[in-house]
Amino acid sequence: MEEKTCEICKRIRKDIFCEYHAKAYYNIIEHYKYWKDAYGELSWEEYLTKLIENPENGVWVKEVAKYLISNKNGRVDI
Amino acid sequence: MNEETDIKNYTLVICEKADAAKRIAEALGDNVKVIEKKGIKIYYVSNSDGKKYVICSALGHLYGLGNHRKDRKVYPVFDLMWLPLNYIDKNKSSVLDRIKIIEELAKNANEFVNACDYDVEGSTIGFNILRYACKVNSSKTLRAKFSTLTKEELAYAFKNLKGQIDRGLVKAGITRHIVDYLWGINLSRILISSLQQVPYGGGVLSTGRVQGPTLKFIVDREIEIRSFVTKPYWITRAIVAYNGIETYASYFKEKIMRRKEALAIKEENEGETGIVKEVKRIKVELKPPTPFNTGDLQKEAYRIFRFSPSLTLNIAEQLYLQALISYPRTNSQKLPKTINYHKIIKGLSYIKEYKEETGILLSKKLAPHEGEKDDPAHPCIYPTGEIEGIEKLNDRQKKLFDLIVRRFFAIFAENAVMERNQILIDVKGKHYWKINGRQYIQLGWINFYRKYFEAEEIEIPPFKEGDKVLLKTINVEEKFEKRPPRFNKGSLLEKMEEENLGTKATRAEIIDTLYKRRYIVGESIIPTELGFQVIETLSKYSGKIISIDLTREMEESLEKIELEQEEPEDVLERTFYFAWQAINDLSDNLEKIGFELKNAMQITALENKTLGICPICKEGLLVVINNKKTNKRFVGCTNYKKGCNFVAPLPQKGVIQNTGKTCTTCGWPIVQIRNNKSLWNLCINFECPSKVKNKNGRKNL
Repeated sequence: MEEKTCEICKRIRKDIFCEYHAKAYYNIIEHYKYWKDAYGELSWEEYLTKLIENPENGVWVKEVAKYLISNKNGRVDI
Repeated sequence: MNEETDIKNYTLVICEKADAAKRIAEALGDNVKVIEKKGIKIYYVSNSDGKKYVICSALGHLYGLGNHRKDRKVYPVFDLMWLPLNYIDKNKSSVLDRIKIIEELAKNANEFVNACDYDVEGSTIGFNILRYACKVNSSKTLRAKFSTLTKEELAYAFKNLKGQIDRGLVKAGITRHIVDYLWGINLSRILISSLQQVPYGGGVLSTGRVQGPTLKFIVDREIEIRSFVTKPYWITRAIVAYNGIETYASYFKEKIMRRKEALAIKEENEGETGIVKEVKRIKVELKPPTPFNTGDLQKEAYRIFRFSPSLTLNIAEQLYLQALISYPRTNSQKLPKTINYHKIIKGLSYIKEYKEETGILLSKKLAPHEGEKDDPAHPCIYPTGEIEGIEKLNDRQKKLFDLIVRRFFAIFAENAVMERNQILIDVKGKHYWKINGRQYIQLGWINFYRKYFEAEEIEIPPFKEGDKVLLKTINVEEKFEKRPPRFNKGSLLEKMEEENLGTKATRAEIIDTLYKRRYIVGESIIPTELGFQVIETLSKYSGKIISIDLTREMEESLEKIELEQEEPEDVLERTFYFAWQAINDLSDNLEKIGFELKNAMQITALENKTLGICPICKEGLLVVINNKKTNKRFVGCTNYKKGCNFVAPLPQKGVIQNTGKTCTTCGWPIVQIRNNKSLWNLCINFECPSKVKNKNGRKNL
């Protein structure tokens, strides 16, 4: 059986993302509450856009954020 | 045979390096004759007591671990033996001449001295030469122990020769070689074999007991960086006016986690008058730095000069062989009790750059500030006070020597005393602001180490309690938490040291191997796709290989062997067991491993060859091309079929590494060229204006 590859890179995946992009995804989910609390109001899309623009965020985080923005729901189930 | 060499019943002295042999010969007697055989210098020395010495040198190890099987693809390998290095490495053919000469010299000797560097490697080098080339039992040999190559210390060492004092070092050395050989050869051969399982496979990969866990540190850090999500916070700073002077104050909470709160602070404080509630003046004493051990010297040389750890060790060794500094491979931060500090400083006072410092130190009682770390074999790194040949030092040697000398001066100096001024301003009993000042009231050791230590001062106005101040402007600044830093050579070395991985002698070499294998790139170290994949694959199929705990435990055992608190057999038994397990785990998945690694190798090679967008056609990619007919390499554009005629020449020797950077002058890609002697960055634009001054286009690092 052919192994499935990550939606973002060509690594083998278990679910939607490979191990590395999945780690970035979990970090994105986990940090949303901090960002919302910090800015008072912040939609999920605004949050993802800020993540892409900020140079401190990791490259996998930006790739996942871009993927989530282009994905209609903006979220995926892993 | 001539008269000088036709002697019998002499003491044969085995040294590790040629320079050391020369210095030992000069220290043992006035009557020194040098005979050169096949390019190897042999020193015949007789002294006034009628004692005769013949001194010769090895060139590092003359024997190494190997096995008789010619096929290098075979694994597992457990039947190992010590063999002359020329059997193991074709490039070491000159070793055989040296061994034959030592064998010949041993025939007429009645006493044997191992005078190699007094550490694990040195003891092992001498031990193997004495048992295999000289064919003497180690119980009948003597050991010379010295930490500097000054005449005085060498003469003392040879008057106080002892038998078997380095038994622990030898046992630890032999065991370390076996353990590393078993891990390294078997696992590397499996990786290489795995590559041969795949179509168009092949290539060289390696891993080892320390190499694997070290690479894992880098990969783990990179995973942390690439999946890092920052957190926002705000800082508020006020411009405070006091008696016509303006200064900065920070809000008492350093980080404000909500924007709303930060904006409220601005609104409630801007234009308000605050009262100085508290003025604190705290004196802080800063102790002098501790003397250098190997790791501290490597870190400091990297911080100041950007010397890689291996380069630092290399230069330090050159200084040691010129008798300018003590032995540079040491864990110790302590000075030997027996040396004459005054004499060393007096010696250095003849160098004009140190006139002032030595003048001060020579007029006081000298008590060093030492560190906690100790080493049974050698003291810290210190200047010997000898200055002969100092004017011939090259630039790098001068820099490192100066660093060692100034550090040595600093350890005898007084504490530096800094006064910290902390002012607390109260606004309406609700908000508090801090002003922090700092000034040195006594520079102490900083005076001696100022060249390498910045004593920054922050001046603030002379506030008194009850003074009124105006908070003129409040600035609210949005900040973001910084992502973890990448390792550089210095911080990686520090991490290896902290985790007790490798030894002071091997750490720098292991970092170099990671670069050579293309597992990592850059000054700020980034793992390549191959580096990632090696760790991913090894973790998947045999996690123990890259287990930091296992490696650390092994290092601890090796240290215990050195101190004769543990027997080599126990460590070797554990090594056989783990190696066997790892070999089985990997062998079962050879093809899968091969595919994973080959794929990563190809991606890494492609990444390394692709230098960026073509500056001419702005469409194609610049790639390093090897012309199979001429065997020459150059940079070309992938758009050449559409008419882009971009071509840039490249040096034909050395390893080329893509830096990912572009030239700040012309915007063309910059590659890094590495050969055995140097490392430099090169803008591939032959006509780049930046090369006007530097005709060969090199930008030395």
